[in-house]
Parts: sequence; C-alpha cells; structure tokens
Amino acid sequence: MSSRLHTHLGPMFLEYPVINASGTLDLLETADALGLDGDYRVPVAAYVPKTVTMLPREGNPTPRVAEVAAGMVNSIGLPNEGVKAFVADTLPRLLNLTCPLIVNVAGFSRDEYVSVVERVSRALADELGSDKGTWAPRVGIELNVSCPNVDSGCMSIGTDAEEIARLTQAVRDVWPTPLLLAVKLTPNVTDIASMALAAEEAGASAVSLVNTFKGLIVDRDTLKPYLGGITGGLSGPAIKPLALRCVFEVAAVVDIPIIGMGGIACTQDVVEFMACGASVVAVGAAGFVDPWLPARLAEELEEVLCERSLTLSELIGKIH
Amino acid sequence: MRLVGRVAEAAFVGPYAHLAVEIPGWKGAQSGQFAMIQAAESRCFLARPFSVSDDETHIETTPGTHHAARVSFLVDEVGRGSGELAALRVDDRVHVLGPLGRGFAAAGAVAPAARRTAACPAAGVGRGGAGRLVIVAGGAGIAPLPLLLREIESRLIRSGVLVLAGFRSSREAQALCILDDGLERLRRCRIPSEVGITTEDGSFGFAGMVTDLLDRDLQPDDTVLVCGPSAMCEAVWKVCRRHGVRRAWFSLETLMACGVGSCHGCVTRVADGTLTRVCRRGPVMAGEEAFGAEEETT
Repeated sequence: MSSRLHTHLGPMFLEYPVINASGTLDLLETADALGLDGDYRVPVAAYVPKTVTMLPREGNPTPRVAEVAAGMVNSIGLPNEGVKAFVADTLPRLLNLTCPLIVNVAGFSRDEYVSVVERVSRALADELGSDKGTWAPRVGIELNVSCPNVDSGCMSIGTDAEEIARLTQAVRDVWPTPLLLAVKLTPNVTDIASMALAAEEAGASAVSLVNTFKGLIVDRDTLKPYLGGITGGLSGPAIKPLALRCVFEVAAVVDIPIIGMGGIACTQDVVEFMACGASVVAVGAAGFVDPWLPARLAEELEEVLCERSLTLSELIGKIH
Repeated sequence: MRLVGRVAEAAFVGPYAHLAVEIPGWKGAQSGQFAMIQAAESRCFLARPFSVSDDETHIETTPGTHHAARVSFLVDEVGRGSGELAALRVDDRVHVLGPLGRGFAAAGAVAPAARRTAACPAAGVGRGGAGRLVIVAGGAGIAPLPLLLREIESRLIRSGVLVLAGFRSSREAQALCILDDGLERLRRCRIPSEVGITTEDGSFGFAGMVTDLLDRDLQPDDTVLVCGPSAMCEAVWKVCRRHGVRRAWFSLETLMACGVGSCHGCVTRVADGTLTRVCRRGPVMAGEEAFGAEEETT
C-alpha cells in the first residue's frame, strides 16, 4: 500500500490506517474457511482478535444475532478459549501474521484484567524476549470496558470514569509505556469525552470508540425478547452518526490517538471518521459481509486523498 | 475474497427460486457446502447462507477446458434477504462468499471427490460396504441434492441410491425437477436409483412425513444423508437409531451473520455438550456428533 497511507498508532507503524474491530474478524478461522494458504495478505493494518478473558467462556444462549434496518444486534457474550489456551495455541500463530497485533482483553473485575495482561506478557516474553521495548511495534493491548452483553465487568467499568482510570492505571503498571494501551469505550454513557479523558490521564496511549449501543429485539410472534441474552448491542451503518458524534466530542478533549469505529461500511465513512478526529479506523460488523473490506477501504482512501489533495494528517481532525 | 456473480438463469420451481449464477473466481464446491450470498443492490445489511445446489465448475468438456463457474442456489423466500434473492433477474449481480463449510465428503459421508468429467466416469468403489445411499430431503432441503448426485455419479454405489423427499404440498414438490438431470445421469451410468415422495397434505406422492417412508424401508447397513429443517433432522436421526443405522450425516441449518467463523452467531449445542459454530464444524455433521448416540427407548 502506498506510503501516503503510512501512519503510526502510538509505537506501532501501520501500513494504512484501517484495522478491524475486536470480535468481528477471526482471521485464522476466516483464512481456513476460505481455503487460503499461509502467505495470504492480511486485510488489516493491525489485527485485533476477539476478546480474551481469564477463564474460557461459552458465550450467551441462542439466538445471538438479528438483522435490523441498516445493521444488526448481537448478544454473543464474549465466547473465548480463555487466556491459558490463548497464549498457548493462538498467540504464537497471531505473532506470525505480517501485521501488528492488538490483544483485546476483558475481565469481570479489575484484578482479572490485570491477570490476563500479565499472562499475555509472560507469554510474549517467551516468544519475543524479555525486553518489552522491543515488543512495542508489534503488540498492543486493548481493554474492553464496553461489551454490553455480559453481567459484570466490561460495561459496568466503562460507564464509570473513576473505574476506567483505576483499571487503566492498574494495567499500565504491568503493561508499561511505550507499549500501546488502548481503552475501548462504550457509547452508552452521558458524556463519553469524560470517559476518554479519564483513560488518557490514567496512562492510556489510545482510545477506541465506540463499542455497540445497547438495544433490544422483540420477537414479532411471541412479543418477547428475541435474543437469548435478552438485550444486545446494535452495530452497523445505523450507528454511524452516533459514533461520529462520539469521536467528534472525544477528539476535542484528548491528545492521544482515537481508533474510530461504529458503522463503517464504505470509504466515505472512513473519511468522515478521520475528519472527526480518528487517527485510525476500525471496520466492525461490515466485515461480517466482506472480511477483506478494511484493506479495500484503505486502497480507496488513498484515491480520496489524491482527489482532495490531502495528506492523512491533514484529513485527521479536519472538522475541528 | 468476496466474489461478484451474474445471474445467468432465474426461474421458480414451485415456491422456490432457482438461481444459476456465473461466478468468476469460484473455486468449486462439494455437496453440502454453502455460500453467503447477497443481492448486489441489497437493502439488507448481511448476506444469507445458502447451500450450493449444483456446481458445474469442474466439468471438463475437453481436457484442460473449463466452463465458466456456474453455481446454482435454491432460495426459499422466508424473509427480506431471501426475498431480494428470489426477485433477482437474469444479469443481476450478487455478492458471493464461498464455498464455505464442511460438505458431505469432507465430513466423511461419501468418499472424497474424484475429478468429474462430462463423460460417464469409470466405476469406482463406494465407501462403507454394500449398503445403499439413502438421501433424505425436506422442503428446500432438496437444494444440495443435484451436486450430491454428481458426486455419487463418479462412484459406483453397488446397492444403489434411494432419494426420499418430503414436502408440505404438491406445489413444493415441483422442486423435484432440479433432480431430473442428476437422476438421468445415474441411470445412464447404471447406478440403480429410486425416488420416494411424500407430501403432508397428500396432494402428491405418499401422504405423510418423509420419516414414515424412511421407517418402512431403512436397512442397518444403509448410509443416510439428510438435509432439511432441524425438526426433520432430529426425527430422521431417531429413525436411524431405531434401525441400527450408524452412518448418517446431516446438513444443519442455522442463522449466520458471517459464515466464516468470525461472529459466533451460528452456534448450536452438539452432542458433546459444547456450543459449536455450524459454519466451521458443519454444516454437515455426523448424527452422533450432532445429536448423540443414546439408544432410543421407544
């Protein structure tokens, strides 16, 4: 991809400013499903795998997904293999990808987040050596404090600025600067800018926004909640204006980079998120329809930059 | 990568839309595999999973020459996404991600596919002894059978093939016409085949459920391949257990957002107690794997 798109996310060099949102692209499964061999070109500039928790999780009861006008509602509930299996089986494979890795972590208490990050750190020391400074271009952490589909932790932390600060600080102690530490925020708050500020002041090196908006699907026949988890998270183009507003508000108050997401489905969406202040954008639910969308959007972004005679840094925050 | 197909034929067979789509870049499917498809001008956000009904990708007219990939789908109009697909006309474009999932051959139900040729193939040997291949379809579950018949054609099934198809009505049973070519080719290859039809309203064939016919005729050494609604699949598995049939495979149907293992939306509880992604471990699973091996007490 052209050098016009080259950028940095904290200590990470990115070939282009488009990545995936956690939980919307399983690169290993997708490559296997499509019969791609080992040397396929990854469709993201950095890869964010599905949330890892301390213990394995089965996830929520079915049904878990429903399509709505211009989007979908999911109640997946963070199914994952748990950090033990993740570091043993998955992490080494992800470190072999040709792009940087941002490990997304969640917990049901502050200690759990810290423990998961410590486990990942120990595994990285085995894989990459103990000098953490050398990890910085290759691996980052994203704290999921915003999943609406679990009972405790996550969004209950992400809706409380003090809790965000305490968690960010606690993780920073075990995942020191210059390593990338992004905090993924929920839009289900009154003032998302204050949440982002709390994360920044506590040592976050980036904020990701937004996770899904809490929603409900009513079964048209029974008039009961349709999803197994009762409520779910709305994503897709339906939330784009809401997410843009969040990025706009956060960009006005923080200096750390913003990973913008929420309904991105076409190049114009990427341009708008960056204009509102996102340094990097993430494709979420639209990646379910086309897993290779992030790389395609980056290619098209380059054309837009040429047409508008803009550099990437001129585009970022142009609205302000 | 997601592919762009052109609708080459669009016709209704009974209530179902039958689409033949030319898909440049399509790799060729096994029966039981599926694709995520979406009308190019869609008002839906997500694509929908459909069984590959037939696939003429690998048929060589002369050695080394391939037809353009031509892939068929049978669309049962159940909602907005399928409604858009059913309304497609010739030359309309569709987005296609696939082929995906584990088909009947990869699941171990039939021997791995040999290269097919347009000429009648040399006789091979069926896998799993002398039992018949019994194919059970319910409603739009008839979809993957044309491709399955092509795969059977390239093997000698000594004791023959029995197709049992159940429908609600004679109108649905019109979909049987998608099997005409495949059954004719089996006859030409001297592979014995029989077809049994049921309708719930008795308007065509045997009045009743497809499991009634199966129950009359099933032999312990038969191999049973099934595609249809979940309730039918479970009922067929019970009949299989009762008759001591151990070799049964089911193409499972669930809602899917992505089809490639990313979303975890398509999970179903399988016999080992885990919630498993149908798109990756299936859609074809062995009966014991999907439903368990407990002996029926009835």
